Amino acid sequence: MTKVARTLLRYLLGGVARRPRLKRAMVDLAYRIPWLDTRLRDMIYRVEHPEAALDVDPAQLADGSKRCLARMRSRAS
Amino acid sequence: MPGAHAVTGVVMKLLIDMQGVQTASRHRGIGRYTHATTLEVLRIAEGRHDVELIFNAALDGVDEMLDGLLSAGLRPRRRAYGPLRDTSADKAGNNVRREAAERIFAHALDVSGADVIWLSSLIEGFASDALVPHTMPRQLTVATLYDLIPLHDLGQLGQSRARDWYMGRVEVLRSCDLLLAISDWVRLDAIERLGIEPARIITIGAGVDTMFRPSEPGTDHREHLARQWGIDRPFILYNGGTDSRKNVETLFPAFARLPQAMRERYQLVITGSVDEATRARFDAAIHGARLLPQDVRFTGFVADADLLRFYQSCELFVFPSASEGFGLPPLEAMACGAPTIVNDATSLTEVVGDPAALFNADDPDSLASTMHRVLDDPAFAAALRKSGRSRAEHFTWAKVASRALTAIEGAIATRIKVRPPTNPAWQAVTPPAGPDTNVQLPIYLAQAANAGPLLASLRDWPGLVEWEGPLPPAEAIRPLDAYRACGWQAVLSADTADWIAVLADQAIGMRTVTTQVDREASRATWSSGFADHPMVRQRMVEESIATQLASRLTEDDLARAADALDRVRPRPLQRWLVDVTHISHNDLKTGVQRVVRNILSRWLASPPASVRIEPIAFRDGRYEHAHAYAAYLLDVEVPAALAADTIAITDNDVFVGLDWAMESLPSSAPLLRTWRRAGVPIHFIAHDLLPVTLPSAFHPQTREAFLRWLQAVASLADVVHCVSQSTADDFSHWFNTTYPGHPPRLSVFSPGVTPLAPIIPGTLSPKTKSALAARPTLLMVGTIEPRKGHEQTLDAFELLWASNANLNLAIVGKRGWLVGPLIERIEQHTERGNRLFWFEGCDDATLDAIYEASTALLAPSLGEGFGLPIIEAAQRGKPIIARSLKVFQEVAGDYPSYFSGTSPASLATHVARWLTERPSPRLDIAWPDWDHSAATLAQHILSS
Repeated sequence: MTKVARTLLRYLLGGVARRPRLKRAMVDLAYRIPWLDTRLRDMIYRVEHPEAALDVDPAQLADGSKRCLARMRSRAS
Repeated sequence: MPGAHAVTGVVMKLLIDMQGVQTASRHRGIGRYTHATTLEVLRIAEGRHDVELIFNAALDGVDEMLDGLLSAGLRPRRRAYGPLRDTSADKAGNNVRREAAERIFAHALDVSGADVIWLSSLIEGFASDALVPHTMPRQLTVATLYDLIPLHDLGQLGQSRARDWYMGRVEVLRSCDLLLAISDWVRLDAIERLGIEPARIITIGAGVDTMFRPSEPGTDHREHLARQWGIDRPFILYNGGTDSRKNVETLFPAFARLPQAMRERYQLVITGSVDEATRARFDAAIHGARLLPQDVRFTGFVADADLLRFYQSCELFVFPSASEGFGLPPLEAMACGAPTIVNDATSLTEVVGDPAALFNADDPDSLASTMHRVLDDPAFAAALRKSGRSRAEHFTWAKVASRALTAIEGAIATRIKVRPPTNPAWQAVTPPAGPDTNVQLPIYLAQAANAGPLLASLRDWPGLVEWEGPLPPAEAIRPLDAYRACGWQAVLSADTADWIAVLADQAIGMRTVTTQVDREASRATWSSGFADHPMVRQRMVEESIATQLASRLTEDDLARAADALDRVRPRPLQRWLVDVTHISHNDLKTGVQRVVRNILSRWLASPPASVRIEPIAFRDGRYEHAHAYAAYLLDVEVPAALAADTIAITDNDVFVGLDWAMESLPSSAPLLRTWRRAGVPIHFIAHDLLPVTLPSAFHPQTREAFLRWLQAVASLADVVHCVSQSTADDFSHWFNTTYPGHPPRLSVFSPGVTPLAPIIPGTLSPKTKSALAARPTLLMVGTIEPRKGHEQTLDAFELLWASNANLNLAIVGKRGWLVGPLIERIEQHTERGNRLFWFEGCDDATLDAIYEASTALLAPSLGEGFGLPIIEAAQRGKPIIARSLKVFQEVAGDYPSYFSGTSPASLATHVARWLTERPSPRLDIAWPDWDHSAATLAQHILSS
């Protein structure tokens, strides 16, 4: 799922969450169709919890790694 | 500190580099050798030596090794470095990256605390990301030597790049303190070609797995082999590699020289992977020998179970290899009782032992006549079978491991070898020394006035601290610094942190000095004592990469190198990464989340000794610090400037899946798997297995999602901590009957029970109050969902009401799932508001008032993980009528009046009898409080 689609779906889910009656009606409707319910919930899970990134992201280092990198950069320059 | 144990000669800490089971070698003899030797070393060394494994996180093969370890009942400590990818030597563009990676690998070994490093396979990495240490580790370094066959004919290495790489690896081998040769031939060859002193190279031999044995009487694999590979005749087998030195092509003309009748009676079977180019070469050779295609069968790669069938079923095993370091396939064949003949070359004569089993592979007639003799002379074949099995019994992995450990112990006993560390260049500075400092290892001169700026400099540029004069007041410590030094407990309670602790957390070393003269006189001696400090070693590697390599690395490569380098530094405190992904986002106040809140808040405020607690949450594909949730639980502010950084695992981390993460675990599991491979112990808390044990009470989607969660937990967890013995029994049953892998261990802890706080009871409406007081009232507490037994209860009460029994049913609980018709029935019931009451979403005060007005609690649930409502009722002294569930009996003993039927009539009868008899319950159970519960769970995690 693309980041844009995920963001849009997040907004949509946020909107539904602010309307409890609508949410209850949608949940009740989906409950009656297990096939639809399963797919909708799986989609929501994927929106809320995208797949794990397994490799180190140089832009998102842990604090200690960042300082180690800063020292090496400083000494290299 | 390397060498500390070696001095005694009694206990050593041995670190085995496992790359031999990680590259493509894991599918060949080297992988089998490393795997089997490691298992036996772990077994033999247990209680004698401390053995740890180190893996390369950029390579595969860890899971297979872990499976092997678990199958053998072994759970050694393990660690990983990296991942540092794209370092293979076959591409010139990888050179600088590889050099940086090898410096980091050397550093990882250097600071591992091991006395001995055992490199399982040094000749790896030309076409993979396997690494060798850039410089020899300071510890005694041992390597397994499989062979030096490429040195016999360097031309076979092809391109000069491969030759240079190989010669570089040979130099690393030569630099090792001790080599463990897999055969006498390899040992003598190494002494001759490398000029190694004989005392530095010991033969430890090789072994054969006990799975390789003759088939049981009456077993016949012919049908399986015919069905699977079309082998419809008795066959001559070759198993092994297909590169040119293996001499496989000599088999075809030799087979063609057999008499026609014999050729028609037998097939030649080649097992093992064959690439396309080699297959084309073989086909040409088969054609050239005028053999028919059906005379020769190629099976491709076969798994061990099938390989065993081939060995057990062949009429002859033939191994024409021109050079071997050992020769595992003929040994395996011999162990399986196959008549085995080998080329009279290199180590193979040592393996078979029997001169009658040798032929000259350079002479097709020699090979053909030996094959002919075995196939034509049953007595000769029987003699070979007998001598082969007898010989194979001498080769066990236990003996190999024992010889290896004896050799290493001998090397330690005879010479304590620790290469002295390079003396670091300390230089005194006056803080603050900023990031533009040119000082590699500073000694900070500190006083009360500059303590704050000093901390910032110290974090950026680690160094020694010489303190002079009085310390500043503890109140001057910023919450951020207190958190960094002492964790959340210091943020909660300011007196937990002091300046010494805060500075010591960042400093490599500290001392107090009184005068300038004292300071300078002793500085050189004092500072030289820190040459071995892991941060000093790290700074020196940083310096070498920064000044020699950084300009040729990309920014991303440098960042990855920094990450790998910083993470291998040993951490003094164990860090528990407590997963609170869901509760930190949305606390639904469920029973599960009550457990999370109560345990985590206690761990944060008062962590177990030598443990640092860090709540984490899985967001956007990564785990990050859940600082905001930790601060919320402790009711403190998040320290200013404390960012929710990404979690990078280190060698002393433990993962605790405290929160129930059914929705996020399928996404986070691949990341947790990499943590597990790197040696992070994984713990999960389990509350129940109800979607599996009571599937009809759950929506299909919930069942599927739960099953995904369960399978992820089973494949990841080292230990699953269950909230009750009943839940543990359910998990144990599922693991034993359904899960195909190695199940995690199980432990049981009891959630705490909160003492009833004195609260002002809420008020009920006069009509409700008077109705509840007018007749006996049975109360049900819990979400309205199928497994809670509301339907049976309502049916039972209708029977009671129809038979003129005068009693109330009060239901407290939110509407749950799959209960639409039941809710409609309750809402439209004629007794609603008269003798049937539903309180949806009432607060604690109202619940207390309802309890007060009720006669007894009714707990007809069909399944529970724990059963908090019955404890709450018992605390209030209310009688309980409960279904006879194992978990209720575990939690409440004899206190409730139990019923067991599922029909409305059985429940109605039990309630009617209970109302008549009104037995007085006796409470003799003391439930643990949350302090005890948190401490018990912590103890279970620590002890596992």
